[in-house]
Amino acid sequence: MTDSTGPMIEILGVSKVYGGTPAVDDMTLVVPRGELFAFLGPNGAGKTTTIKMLCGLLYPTKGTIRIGGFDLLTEGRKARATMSYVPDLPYLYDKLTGREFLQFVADMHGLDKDYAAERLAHVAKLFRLENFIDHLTERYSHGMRQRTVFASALLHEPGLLIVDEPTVGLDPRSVRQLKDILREQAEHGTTVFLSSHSLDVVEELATRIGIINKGKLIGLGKVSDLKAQASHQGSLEEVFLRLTEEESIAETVIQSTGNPS
Amino acid sequence: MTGKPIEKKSRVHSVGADIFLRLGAKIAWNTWKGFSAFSYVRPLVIGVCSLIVVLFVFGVSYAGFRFLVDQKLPLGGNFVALLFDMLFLSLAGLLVFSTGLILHASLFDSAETAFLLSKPVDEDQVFAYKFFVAGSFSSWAFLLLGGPILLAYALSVGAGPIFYLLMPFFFVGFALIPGSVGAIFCLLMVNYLPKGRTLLVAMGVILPMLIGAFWIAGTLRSLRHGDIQMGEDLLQKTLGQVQAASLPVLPSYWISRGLRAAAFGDLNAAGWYLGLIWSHGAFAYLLAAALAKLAYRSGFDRLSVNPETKPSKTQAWIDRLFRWFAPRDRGLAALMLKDFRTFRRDPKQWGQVVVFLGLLALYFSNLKRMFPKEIEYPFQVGLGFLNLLSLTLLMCTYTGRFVFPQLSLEGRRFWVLGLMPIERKRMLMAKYWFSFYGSLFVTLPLVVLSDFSLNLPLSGMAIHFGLLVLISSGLSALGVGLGTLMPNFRETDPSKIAVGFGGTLNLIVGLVFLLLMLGLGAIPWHMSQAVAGPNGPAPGVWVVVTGGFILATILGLLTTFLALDRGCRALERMEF
Repeated sequence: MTDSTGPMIEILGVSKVYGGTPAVDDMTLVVPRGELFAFLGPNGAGKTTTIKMLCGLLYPTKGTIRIGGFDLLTEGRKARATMSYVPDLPYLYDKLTGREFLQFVADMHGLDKDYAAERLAHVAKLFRLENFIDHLTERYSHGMRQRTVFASALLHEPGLLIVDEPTVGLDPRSVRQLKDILREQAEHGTTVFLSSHSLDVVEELATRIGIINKGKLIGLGKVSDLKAQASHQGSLEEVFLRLTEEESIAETVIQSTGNPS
Repeated sequence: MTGKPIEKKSRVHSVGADIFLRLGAKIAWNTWKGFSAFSYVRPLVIGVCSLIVVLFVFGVSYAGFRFLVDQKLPLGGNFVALLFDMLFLSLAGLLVFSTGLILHASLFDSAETAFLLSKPVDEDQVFAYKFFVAGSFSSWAFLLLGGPILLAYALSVGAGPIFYLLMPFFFVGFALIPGSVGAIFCLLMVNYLPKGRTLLVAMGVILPMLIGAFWIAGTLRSLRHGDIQMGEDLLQKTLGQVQAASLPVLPSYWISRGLRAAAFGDLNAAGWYLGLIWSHGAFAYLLAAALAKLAYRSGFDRLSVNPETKPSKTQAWIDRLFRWFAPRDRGLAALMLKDFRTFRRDPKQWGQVVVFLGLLALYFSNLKRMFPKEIEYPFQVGLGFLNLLSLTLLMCTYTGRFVFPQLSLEGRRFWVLGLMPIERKRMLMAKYWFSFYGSLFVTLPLVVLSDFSLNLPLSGMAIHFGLLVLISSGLSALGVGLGTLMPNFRETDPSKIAVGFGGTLNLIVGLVFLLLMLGLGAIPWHMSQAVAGPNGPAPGVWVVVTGGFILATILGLLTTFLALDRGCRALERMEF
């Protein structure tokens, strides 16, 4: 296991620039172990770029990212061994069965044969894959694909689970089950980094919430902290809209007057 | 803030490259099982088609090699060595580009690699897996062409069993060298070329080919000095002109000499060349893998963050020009413009067309200067036919490569078109017209250039013009029609769609169509002119020429109609 006292995610002064435009701008964020952290933001705010940097798919233009204490630039493989990533459009090999795919993921994580078999049986049961696990994934519906990918993500008992829009396309029962699983994972010490537009899911699950807009972290804390920051006691949706709107207005003022105050 | 990290050790072992071998084997096996469960016809047709190509190449090669052996031609051995040098040099060139291009798509533009890179596996392991997949894809032509030629050679010279035993090892070792070079080019370009990389990648293809073009042009220029006599003189002259292909530092030289040594039972020499090939192949691969370890992930990152196109609110001049030439029907023109934009914004695709057509234009425009003294009329006519053949063969290849995958590529975004108030068959017709106009636009000027350079009579020019229109129409219809009848909606890489079963079948059908068209429409005229006496062709021969052309016209129109009709019907019924 990784260090049990240090934080699981450390994003320290990170920027990512796309052709001169910052997609993520000098972000600092620390997420402790066992926290279910939700990441919110409008479209194009920099959520996916941040997640891709956390997974090691993109490099920060500036700053440092550590996962479980491992610097992603210098110890990327060790950092990736401690985490799992479920993207919004998950990839499955069409010509593999669900079981073969899970076995392949177990092999990539270097799990011992017996342990892999034990874990495979566990996640297959957890995500109710038994009825279709031996069919080629090309025949799977969206929900079946999503469940298989989640099963593969939990196969090696990751210290960090990163999920991007996990509830899209799932039926209500699956959404309910997924929420339970995410909560259980966090209770058992797994850090969950959840990016979603489903504010009800976020409000129900998240220990803390980070709101990103135009690459900057504009809000961070519990729902009550965000309400205080927005000076608004309404729903998370209203708080979110107010905070992101304020940011846009502030930026417009700065651009038109040239004065940040 | 950060504590000392502790690695997860229990019940975990290091990951070896064997997991990707197992993955590849599983995918291959499941794909094969899918074939068998669905229908035995598909793998059977693949096998039969491949066998036909192999037998054809084998038959032609065997006849050629037997001719050399039986006639005991002077310098016959040198000629074969030179042939092999040139064959392997051109195959190596093709392998560099095809492996590089396929690797670029699979390393940097696929969902699978993003998935693999987020897992705890090393970059060079992912590279190795993708390299061997790309190598297998790009080497099939190498095996399909090189294999039967070498077998024909071995049989014609009575090679011993050692030749057959060593041949596969020569092939694989040799393919490693250009494949690795292509991979190194690909990684370097992605990592170190400045912005606007797509164009530069295309330039990376175009530039080396232009160098090759200048070499060919230089050879042609030197050929035009002095009279060219048939026989030994010509052979020696020709051998002298293409010596560059036989430089002993080239891997093509090693495989060519090694295989010939194996054919004649010279085990020492064969072993030496085999060792030379494998040591260089292994070294080149290690170099590529080491570079991948250093630069693959950074290249992936770089490609993700460099937007390559500038936003443009106005319509590009080239699109306005295209609209001007497009049909007046607005719906049809809009569909064609969409395909045109998609095509022109992918220089990796059209770069190859530009290079080959540029080479042909260079050659056609040099035809007159090559032969300062007037060449004899039968040769003019013969060259005219060969030029037409090369142009139409190129057209056949490119309709297979670019037109056939068109409908398959629409599959995932078909809802955009499918929900529009446009008849489905008009979508198909738009693709047909786009291909038809596009093929004619690039080939017609070239055939005119060739015919004028050769001073062909007006009747010959008219026949070439008519045949080009008919062949362009037929090949475009076949590409569109068969592409609709045999779509592959799962694949996003057009090159992989083109080399799949449907694409291969389309290529074969196109080739048969092309040969029939030329056989009916062009050969009677060319033969009659070539064997004509001083008073012109024999009386009555025009009946054969006209009859042949009419048959070719019927065949061209019928092929166009049937292919489009079947395609339209399939599209109407198609579920996306």
